[in-house]
Amino acid sequence: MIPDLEDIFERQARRYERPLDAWAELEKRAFGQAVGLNGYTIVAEAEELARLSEAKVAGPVLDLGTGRGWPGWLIAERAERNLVAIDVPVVGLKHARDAFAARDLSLRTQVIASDGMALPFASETFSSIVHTDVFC
Amino acid sequence: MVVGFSIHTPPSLTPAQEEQATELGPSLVCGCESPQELIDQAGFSGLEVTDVTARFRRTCSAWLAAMKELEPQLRRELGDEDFEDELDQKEGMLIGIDEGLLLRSLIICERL
Repeated sequence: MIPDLEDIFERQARRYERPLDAWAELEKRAFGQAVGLNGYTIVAEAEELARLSEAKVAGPVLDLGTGRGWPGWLIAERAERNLVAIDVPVVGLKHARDAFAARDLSLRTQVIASDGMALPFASETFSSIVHTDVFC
Repeated sequence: MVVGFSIHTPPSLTPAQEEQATELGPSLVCGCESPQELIDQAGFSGLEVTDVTARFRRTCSAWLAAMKELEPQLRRELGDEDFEDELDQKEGMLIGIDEGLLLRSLIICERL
């Protein structure tokens, strides 16, 4: 049976409330560094998304379902684009905002609580949209 | 341009396999249309799909190995229930991949 979206968002919010130190230690053990990964998008994949995001026309990037800001911060940094990060669980967005600030990206990034099924943006606002394991 | 990674199922699973994929993988892995259908509905085209399942398997496996190595610390900091829930998810994902029920792809498309 497929759970409803509210259950999924609540579950995600609980994951984002976990102690970051414990998770960073786990990430370092698994992948050799801690970037804020809590899903399956490894650094090489984030770099691929950044490269693809900067390959076409210039313009801001929408990070759909940003979670705690990974891989959004790497894309904003590498692609040298403004980035708008959206998601539903606010606890994750707070971490995302901190992740952007920690990398001196606050002026080029914006964090917005929004459902991807009702985006609060005009058509053609973004040059590219990135997502990682959102549609599953 | 829309670019991202997505976990999905192979085409033509039986209902029983879909149920199994949903139990082993992400909750919505069978909950919506195929990438092609979603892209079409959203008015995008030029779909490019690159299978990255082998890399996805290595990622799951690395998570799982690290979780087992750090089990006492993680149980203490996350709590038993949360730890076991996370472990079950990672183990389920690996089983789903190995049984051919779960795939992960890089999906790229552009506005018409």
